[in-house]
Amino acid sequence: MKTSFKVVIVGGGTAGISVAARLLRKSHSLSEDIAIVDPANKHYYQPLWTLVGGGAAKKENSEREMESVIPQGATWIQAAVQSFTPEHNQIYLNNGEILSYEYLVVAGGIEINWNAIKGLKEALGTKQVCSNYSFEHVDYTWETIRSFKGGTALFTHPASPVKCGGAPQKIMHLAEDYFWKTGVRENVKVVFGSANPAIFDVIKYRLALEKVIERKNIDARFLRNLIEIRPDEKLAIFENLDTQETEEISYDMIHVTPYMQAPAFIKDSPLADENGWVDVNMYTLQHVRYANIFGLGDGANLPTSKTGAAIRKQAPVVAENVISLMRQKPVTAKYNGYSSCPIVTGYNKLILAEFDYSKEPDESMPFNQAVERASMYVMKKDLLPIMYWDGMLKGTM
Amino acid sequence: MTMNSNRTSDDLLQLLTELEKPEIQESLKSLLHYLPNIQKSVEVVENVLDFGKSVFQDEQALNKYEHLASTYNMNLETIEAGIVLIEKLPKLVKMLEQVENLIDFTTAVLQDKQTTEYAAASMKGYIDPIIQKGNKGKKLWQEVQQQVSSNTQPVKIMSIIKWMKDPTVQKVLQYVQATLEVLNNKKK
Repeated sequence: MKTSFKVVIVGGGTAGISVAARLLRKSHSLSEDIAIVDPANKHYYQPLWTLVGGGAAKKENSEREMESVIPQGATWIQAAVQSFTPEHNQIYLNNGEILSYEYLVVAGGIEINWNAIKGLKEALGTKQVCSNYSFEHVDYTWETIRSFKGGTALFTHPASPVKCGGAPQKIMHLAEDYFWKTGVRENVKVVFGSANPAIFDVIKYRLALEKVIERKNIDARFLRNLIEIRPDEKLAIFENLDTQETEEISYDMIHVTPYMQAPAFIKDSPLADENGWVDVNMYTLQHVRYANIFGLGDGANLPTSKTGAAIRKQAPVVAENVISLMRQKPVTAKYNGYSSCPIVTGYNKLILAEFDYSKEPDESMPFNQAVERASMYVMKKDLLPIMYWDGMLKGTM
Repeated sequence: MTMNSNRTSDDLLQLLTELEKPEIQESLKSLLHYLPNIQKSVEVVENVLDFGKSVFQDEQALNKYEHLASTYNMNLETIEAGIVLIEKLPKLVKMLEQVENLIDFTTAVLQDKQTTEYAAASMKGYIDPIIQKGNKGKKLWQEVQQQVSSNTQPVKIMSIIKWMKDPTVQKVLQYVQATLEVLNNKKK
């Protein structure tokens, strides 16, 4: 097996595949000289899981064989990274092999810690405890919502960075809408327990979403961090981040957004910052200590929302800057912190939040995106998956 | 004369001093080593120059190419356009890249069986309710037609008064009334 590549990409997720495809389009000489390291057999389009949990999409459409998304000209090495030695331009794999590179792109993603909330792992997928954050259990969310007849429907957001900050409330809006459709809404109390101080970071969309919450009569409780679930008693234990006191909420169904963190192989590596994320320049995405290393995606320490849309703007920057380095030119491509969150507020309704590092709207549509629109819902449900599989992963979008 | 011979001796001395330097000797040795290659290169250049010279002297060949060039609409305007085009190339390349991306994306979509199936299912999701509505309307109309053809009884004035109480008829009449009012107001 070839063990030395011009470019090694750690991670075969959205970021890794996008960068590989873009590099290969930019320079055909890189064909057979790019390696993508990822142990997974499958590649998932996770944004669809919100709709799967809400019964509006099939989960099979979110899954493809990893082999099918590896760009032609890239070599897939099915192994996990054990450690990095950036001084020697090498990475150690869990199968005992060592890979050498000239340029390294780290796109290791974000890791879910199911154990961080006591009782969650054991209860998940049973006793009305559900979560959209696992391919295995996402169907159970829909099962729980559609069979719900009344009581307290509790939705949570943890005190950790999450992939797509808007997702924890999207499933709540879908569920609430479904309760209306089935005529049980009047018997349901919808509660949102979030560790965040507000419903959204960007003021324009926050104001719009606060109105949605009010209109839907949702009991939103902020600075509440879920720390434990007692499924037999149907009890959720929160820490009040303001008073540090614990609070209990009885529920009849609970959708949990789990804790997320930097993957251990990155956190314990010389590439990480003090919080465990890949330490990169927020504009050029070049590593702050190793010039031939770049980082992007959920695993990079970029002060913006971790979304696929953000990666769509980061991947061209990384590809262009890697090529610039190869051509001994200065790295000039810059990322402005763009991120986007299509916040589903019901079946056929969506607020398309788009913003940058300054937390100011950076909208691409010629209309006010803080308004709930059916057209944007159609875009998320029907167009974005196509753009993802055949545009983003092919390096054209 | 003496001054000139003194200068020559000085120059020679300087040359000899230079030649005594080991790095100069090394360079000379290296130069001698490459001399055959240099000679070959000089010969190649000489051949090219000779070829150019011959072409320019060959009137027949020149006339032929001049005639060939004259069949193209090349003039100052063309040359100016070429320069403008080169100037615009960076912008054009960007636009072409976008078009290329779009073409590649469309090709990828069309070749991706899973995507085309997904798109077809989505379309079906939007079209089915419309077809169902259409079918419902068609059925309703067929039923109405059947009743009309089977009913030979004349419509009585009492039946019409009865219809007036029907909410659907009332709604239609309300629309008629409102339309008439609006039209009258417009006339004023």
